[in-house]
Amino acid sequence: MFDKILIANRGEIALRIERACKELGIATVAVHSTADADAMHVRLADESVCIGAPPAKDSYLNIPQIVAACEITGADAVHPGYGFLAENARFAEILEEHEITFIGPSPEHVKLMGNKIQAKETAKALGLPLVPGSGGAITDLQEAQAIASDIGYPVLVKAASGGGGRGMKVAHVENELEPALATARIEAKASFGDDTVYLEKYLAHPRHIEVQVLGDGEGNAIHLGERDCSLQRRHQKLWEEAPSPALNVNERMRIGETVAKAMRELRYRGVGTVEFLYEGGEFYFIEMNTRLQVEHTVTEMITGIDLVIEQIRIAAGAPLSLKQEDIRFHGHAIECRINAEDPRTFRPSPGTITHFHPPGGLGVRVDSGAYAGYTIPPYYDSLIGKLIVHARTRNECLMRLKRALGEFVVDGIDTTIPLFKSLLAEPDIADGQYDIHWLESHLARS
Amino acid sequence: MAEERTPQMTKKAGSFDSDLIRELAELLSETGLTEIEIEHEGQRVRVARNVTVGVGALSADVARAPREIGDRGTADEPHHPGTLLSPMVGTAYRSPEPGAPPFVEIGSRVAAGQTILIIEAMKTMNHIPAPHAGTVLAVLIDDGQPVEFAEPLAVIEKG
Repeated sequence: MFDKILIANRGEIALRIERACKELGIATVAVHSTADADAMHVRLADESVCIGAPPAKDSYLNIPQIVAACEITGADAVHPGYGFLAENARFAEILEEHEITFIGPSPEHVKLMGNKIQAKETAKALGLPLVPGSGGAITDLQEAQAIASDIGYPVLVKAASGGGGRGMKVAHVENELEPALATARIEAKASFGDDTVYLEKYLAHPRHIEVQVLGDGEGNAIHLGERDCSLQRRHQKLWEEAPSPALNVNERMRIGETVAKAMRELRYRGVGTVEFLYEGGEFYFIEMNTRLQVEHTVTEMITGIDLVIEQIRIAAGAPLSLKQEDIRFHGHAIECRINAEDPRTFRPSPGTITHFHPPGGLGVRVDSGAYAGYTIPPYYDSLIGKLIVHARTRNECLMRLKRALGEFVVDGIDTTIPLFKSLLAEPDIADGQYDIHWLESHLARS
Repeated sequence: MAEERTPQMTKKAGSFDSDLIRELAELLSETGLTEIEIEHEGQRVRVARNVTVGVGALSADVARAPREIGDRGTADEPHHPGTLLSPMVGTAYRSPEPGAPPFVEIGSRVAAGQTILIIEAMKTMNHIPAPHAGTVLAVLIDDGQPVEFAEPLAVIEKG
């Protein structure tokens, strides 16, 4: 087991990782930019190292500084969290070269799933159902037009090096295809350094359903059920639930087992999430995330399993402590991502929190590094915390969420708490009847 | 950890063996344990390292605590204008190699760009230059000390 883990991240997830390390008796090193010197996880860590100026490229993306921090503290493992370097295969390789464990999958699997075209090919080979599409990269307009006619409009142009909802353009009809391809390429080149694009059928009313997996790298893998993350704005998830209101027990176990079997064949190590679009009773693979996800929390609530602890154990070489038959799902969980943004315009609201009173009580969990007096730096994402509620049924969960949101006080900045309160009043939300376009349509209507 | 290294002792009725207490206290420091309790000749002795728990969720004590590195001043304290801040994370050395004389001493006159010290990271030595010409007023790090970004390394008075 590791003696000391360096947490290469910030904000709520750094605190999350810190908590798991503490429970395992592992010493922690927090690395931070100068803007994060007063962050909660820095205060609670056993050691901290300032690694650079506020911009991410100077600090949280600065591989040499992070490796140097490992050196001077003697950290024997790094947990990359999510975002930043979590899916950077080069970072994983460099750590390996320095004999520091990267808490995650092998660099090969990070690379494999990082390229979205390769990921689809791999998924297909592993027996996962795919969205109809070009299969490989699109090289010319004629080819694109032919494929698009074949699979039927509307179609989606996607960046091979994109992911996480970025680098996608819709072409609703044939004459939109050329501009969509051109814009997508330019943006992909700018954002990811690679203008390779591919085509997929654009599904009209799909739900986003993803399956959590855990593998030990030795050919053993299990699934921990699914999450429904259909409520998104600009491809960013805002509200996630487990289990999905759309699936019944049989569908859940079937897709779960299909994914677990694929991960066994892949000999996948660590935590991972396989994401699907679900429409008309069918699943369509879109991508795999080879890391811990923001919404891992709802899975933890319904299974009782600490995913970060499992990640650390597996990275330290332990076999899976659980078999599929050990996994039981209890009740329902919902997570709301609380952002420091205006709840209607979504304009970011950095600033100082003057009062902070998170809700409590049975079945209420708040993952946040915020506190009264904390100043939110303007350099990073606007997530200030996650409110997660758990109850025996989805209806109880909704009541508990309403109660918890009512108690949650964050003064001094704008937050999206009012948005979630208003969603709870919507019949479609109460019924669980929504797809990935629902939230944006709802916001456009209001 | 907000930890004070003062052993605290509790005793039961009757006189106690102060040598034993002292021995236990040393044992605590040597081994890094936080508490030792023994029963000896009908007496129970407990020697514990005092651990401060923050009163209320966010007392200022907890705030400044977790710094094994870079305890000498933080970025928000006002610095002398001639303070040289570390541009990187690594191990700082005052000499070009072990046994050699240090690059500078207090009172040394330096030219702009002259090497003040070396910071080593991942087997590469990085020369840290004087930002301006002047006199070394202070050297704030020990030879072989780990340093973090923006940590004050030295003070060079311009002129």
